[in-house]
Amino acid sequence: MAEHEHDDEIGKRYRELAREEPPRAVDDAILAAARRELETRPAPLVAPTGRRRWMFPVAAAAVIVLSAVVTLHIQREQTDLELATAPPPSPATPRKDGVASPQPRVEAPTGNALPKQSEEEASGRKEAAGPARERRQAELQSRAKPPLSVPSPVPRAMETPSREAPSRPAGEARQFAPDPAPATPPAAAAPRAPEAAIAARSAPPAAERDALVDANRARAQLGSAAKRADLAETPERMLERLAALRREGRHKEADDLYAEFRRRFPEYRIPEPIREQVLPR
Amino acid sequence: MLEYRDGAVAAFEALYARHKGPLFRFVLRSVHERGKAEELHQDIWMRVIEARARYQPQARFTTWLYTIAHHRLVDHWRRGGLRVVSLDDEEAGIEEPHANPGHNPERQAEARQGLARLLEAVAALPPAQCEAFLLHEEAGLSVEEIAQATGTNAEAAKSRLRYALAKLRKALDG
Repeated sequence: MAEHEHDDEIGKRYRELAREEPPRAVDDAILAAARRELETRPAPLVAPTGRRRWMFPVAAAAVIVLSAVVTLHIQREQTDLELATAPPPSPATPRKDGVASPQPRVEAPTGNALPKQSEEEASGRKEAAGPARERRQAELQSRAKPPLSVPSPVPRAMETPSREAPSRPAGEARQFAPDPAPATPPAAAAPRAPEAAIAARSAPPAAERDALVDANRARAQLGSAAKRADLAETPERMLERLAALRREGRHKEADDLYAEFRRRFPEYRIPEPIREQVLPR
Repeated sequence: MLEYRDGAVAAFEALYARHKGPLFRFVLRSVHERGKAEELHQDIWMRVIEARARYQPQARFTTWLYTIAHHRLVDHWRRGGLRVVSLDDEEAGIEEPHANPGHNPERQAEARQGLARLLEAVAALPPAQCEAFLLHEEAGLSVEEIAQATGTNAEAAKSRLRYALAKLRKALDG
């Protein structure tokens, strides 16, 4: 106790000592430095205290990473969509001989049939696999028959021009004119391009069957892309398909397609010139 | 200090006005040389200003300020060839080397009267004990805060302070 009082006495006497202060010049220099510091380095936007000093860098890094990932994802999606969506074909213009004017890819060599197939598959993925298979079989059977001498009145653009090899003679080409019985939508015939090309080169039926199997496999791979492409199909393109079906007499399919058309484009006004060709009968 | 960090120069001016005297005396009575004390005082405040952007209120500002002052004084003593005092040496009663050139019998005799004697006794303290005493009297730090500012444990700080007070008491009574 006495020691503590003695310590207090020491403290009291110490505080009676001279109270020295720094000189005025030192004060001014220090205060000027403090002001300069504020001018050269303004207050930080985020005070780096405790955990918060990590929050800003971490948040910035997260934003950068997320932005990069989203950008890459969007670019990949766009690329897929562009690949899957075929450019809308130019409207078919009937030729003098009653055959539709060929699209550029019609005259392309057989070696390019596969890329075209994907485009046409995109436009015709709506058709089921069953009718397509039937049609292919009917087609193979028709090849065994003598060529038809009557040219088809259906414009070739509504058909699948790539089915024919460019080297084929005109008469032989006509034998692939659509038969009314094995009803298959024209757009659905697109996947048959490679198989038709293969069939044209190989006569034996076994080889044709192999070609069919290969084509089926290829079509299955392109199925998902065709689904996406169908969503991008324009009303004009659907009307062309409708008109083609009517001309071929496949009214049941045409009615179904018309119902699908109205479901997808309820407000679309069908132009007068084509109205008669597409409306249900 | 937080206000100064956020851009208020008036906050620094208030801070400086409050702490400049005690800090200057702490330095002056540690180094016993006015010119050196002014230099060190200015240097300590410059370090405070430079640390503005990264200042974190983990302790009282006073404790933080005197921690900077302690480090600056340690640098000063090391340059002067003084070694850091160990607690064992102090407790064993071994006299510490001291930088006070005026510590001699004649001045002790003059200081026997009044406050001069106390001032002389403070100057005669070993640096670690002198520092602990000055931190206690000038900065008003507690034993725990003295330990924090000087980078030691509370027991050591308490012991240094106790030894310093005992020596000062002896000097006053003597």
